Amino acid sequence: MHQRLIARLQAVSGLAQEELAVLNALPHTVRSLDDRESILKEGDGAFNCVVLISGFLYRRKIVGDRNQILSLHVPGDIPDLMTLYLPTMDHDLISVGQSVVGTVPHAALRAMFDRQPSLVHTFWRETLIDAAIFRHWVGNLGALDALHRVAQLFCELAVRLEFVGLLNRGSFAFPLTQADIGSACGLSTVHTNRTLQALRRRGLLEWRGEMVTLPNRGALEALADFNADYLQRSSKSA
Amino acid sequence: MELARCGFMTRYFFDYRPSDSEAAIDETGHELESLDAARAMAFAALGDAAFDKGRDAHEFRLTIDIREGSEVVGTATVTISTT
Repeated sequence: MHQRLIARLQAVSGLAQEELAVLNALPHTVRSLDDRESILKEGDGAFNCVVLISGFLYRRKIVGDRNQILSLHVPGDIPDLMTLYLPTMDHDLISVGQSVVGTVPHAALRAMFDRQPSLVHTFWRETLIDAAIFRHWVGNLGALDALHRVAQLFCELAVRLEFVGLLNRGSFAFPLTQADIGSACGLSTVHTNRTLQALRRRGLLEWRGEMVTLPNRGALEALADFNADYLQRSSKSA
Repeated sequence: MELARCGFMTRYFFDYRPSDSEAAIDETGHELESLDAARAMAFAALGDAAFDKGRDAHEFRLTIDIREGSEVVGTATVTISTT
């Protein structure tokens, strides 16, 4: 059930046999979520963490009168891992499209860390990568024009989905709307639409229904000036 | 407009007509409750476009045609220039 989490940890940190065994035995409850269903809302106290099994989640904060998507999450992510130490949510955690999560009690995570302390480092590293992604987004939002912001978003998602085996010849399931892209990139819906059209016209993006294809990832990464180092592509545990 | 007032949504299209490149015709549009909502959407888009172009330090003018079907029902324009 933790297949995507294990795939992700293998890709970015590497796992020893005994760590794999303990992770596989991690108790959890499977929960299905509908489109726009909240897992946690700002102000909620969390007693569990969720491992995303399939679908997409986002973290969202209402800033002034705007919806700001703070981060997007792909299978294998634990987007509320920080609640283990900071249990009061300062943002919302929401499903986009239908998704499935494994709910793991905080107590079970703590018991796992007691049993296999090396995993503390692995999960600490996950929170550091999460923070690195936030830094990257802050930089992009503050410094880039619309075309580069949106291109960077798709470049990043492709790498993160590739880690967990969900990128299929440049294609992936993508239940977000254009308005969601705008909320994540700090852009109006109309300008997001125009920007996506510009990427389509350059042959760098195809978006039909809930499938996105990046026909030429190399060219998209070049246009976006994208460097995946912050995602720890190909690096193993230090 | 009668339908919109009854709570039905209207699909508005936003065509970009920039001074420095060819027009980009909106083929998908957005379902909105009123022309006022469409104008607000166009304003926000002009702001984003001005942000993109302002950093290029080029004079630039962009008109967004708000279209309902084949009929332009409103326009919004931003101009960046120096004297």
